[in-house]
Amino acid sequence: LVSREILNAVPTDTPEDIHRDVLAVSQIGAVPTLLEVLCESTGMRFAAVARVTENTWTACAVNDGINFGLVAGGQLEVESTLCIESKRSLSPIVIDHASLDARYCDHHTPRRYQIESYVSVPIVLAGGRYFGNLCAIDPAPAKVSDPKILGMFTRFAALIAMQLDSEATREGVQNALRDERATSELREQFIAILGHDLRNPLQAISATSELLTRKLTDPVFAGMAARIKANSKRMSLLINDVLDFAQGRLGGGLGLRIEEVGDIGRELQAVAKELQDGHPTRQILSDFRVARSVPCDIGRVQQVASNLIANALSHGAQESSVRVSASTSDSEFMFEVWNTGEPIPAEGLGKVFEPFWRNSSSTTRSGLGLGLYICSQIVKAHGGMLTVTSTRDSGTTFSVHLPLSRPQ
Amino acid sequence: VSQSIQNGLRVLVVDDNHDSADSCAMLLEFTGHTVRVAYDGASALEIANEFRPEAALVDIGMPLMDGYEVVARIRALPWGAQSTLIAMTGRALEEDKRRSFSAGFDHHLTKPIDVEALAALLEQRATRSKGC
Repeated sequence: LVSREILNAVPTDTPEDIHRDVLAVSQIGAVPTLLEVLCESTGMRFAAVARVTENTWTACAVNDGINFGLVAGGQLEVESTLCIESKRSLSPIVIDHASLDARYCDHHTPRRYQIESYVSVPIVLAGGRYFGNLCAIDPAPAKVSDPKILGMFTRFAALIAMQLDSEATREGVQNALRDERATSELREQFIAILGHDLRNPLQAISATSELLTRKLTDPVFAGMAARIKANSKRMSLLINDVLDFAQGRLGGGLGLRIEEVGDIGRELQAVAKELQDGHPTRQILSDFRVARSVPCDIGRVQQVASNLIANALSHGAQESSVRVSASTSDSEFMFEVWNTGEPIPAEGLGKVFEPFWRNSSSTTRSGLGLGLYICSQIVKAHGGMLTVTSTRDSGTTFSVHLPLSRPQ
Repeated sequence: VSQSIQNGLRVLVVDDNHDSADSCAMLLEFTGHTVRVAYDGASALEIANEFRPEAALVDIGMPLMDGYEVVARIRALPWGAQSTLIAMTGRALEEDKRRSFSAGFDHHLTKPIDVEALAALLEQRATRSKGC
């Protein structure tokens, strides 16, 4: 049978193979109905088609009436399941009432998942190749050791196997894979447009306004040119944020380049100085005491520092200074930014690192609300933690913690 | 940027986006450099052959011949090894930077270009040629 090629193409099951099998089951229109029928006629509230290998248990289709929490593609530790036993013996397992069952009352599976009734039958493809199991569970006992019920499971499993073997399913999988590829191409294009096509006109605006600020002798006109220049800079930062967001959310992560940074204090000082220069009426007090090298992507860490300090300057009390400190312990590098002023409302504290969050009580509203989200993503990618505390009395502190052991 | 650069450089600006190329060229001229502009890879190489730029700002995403190829060809010329080649691009990802360097660029600047950073790179180059 030609169709076996889809599932038999490679001897070992890579994550791609399993993904393909999950897609294959999703192509069989009857599966959701089969699972519903199983649940209705047994009184069990959870049924699933699982792809089972020696190392993995992956849900391909799920009918979940007990909030078990599994969705298609979700995995369980294979040794924790009974399906693996059914796979090894290539025979069904049926339990009416696990805690009263001589064989299964001490078994780890019913205990771990707190289930009483259980049915699992192997799905065997043409040529005798094992695919996985059709199974159902329930936290309550059920009378499932009835030949009629077992017969229904077996027949449904055979039906699913037949469909998996069919040419139509195979084509469906190919189409689904093609769709996925198309989506990822679209994503790449989107990122390219953000990166390239928006920056070109901005480059012309920025360079021209730069030239004008230098050439114009009338201070009023020079001021106008300076405003265009400042706003193109702002626009550029917004594009960076959107690009980072798209990259982190849709693409393959932020792509850190981790290196041992000898003098991180100096690098952070450069950031503090740049912001100080941009805010001559404010005071940034820095206290950097880092005596050792820190493994990190310094460009990204500077981006985090710049974001946090700029936030403190714009949201903190205008008359008060912003304090910035960096230090290390045995196991981590810590960087903190502190400001006084109106605290972040308690209900906002849990949300500040979510994308598009903005402080509703804040009077300034200049960004997209992506800055802190991106900061937290950068810190997370380093294996670290970004936290915040904010009260009226002690002010607002953002703390970056990075592990000193090199992230993998 | 100092307006009184004594040793202005010969700088070639290559970008298929005319506004981007022209505005960049005007700014560089204003800061004391001698500038030529090309809007595509082929004419960039033609101009480079007789102009022998000490520095070139090259856009990467151009039709027909992209910036990587322009730079590879300039590098292959007898004087090309000495030239300071700067990628000027909308591509800002780490992997884009790595690709620029492996293609032969000395530096990678993201559009819109930070004028101070560009000035610093050109000044470095100017000091170097004075030293030689």
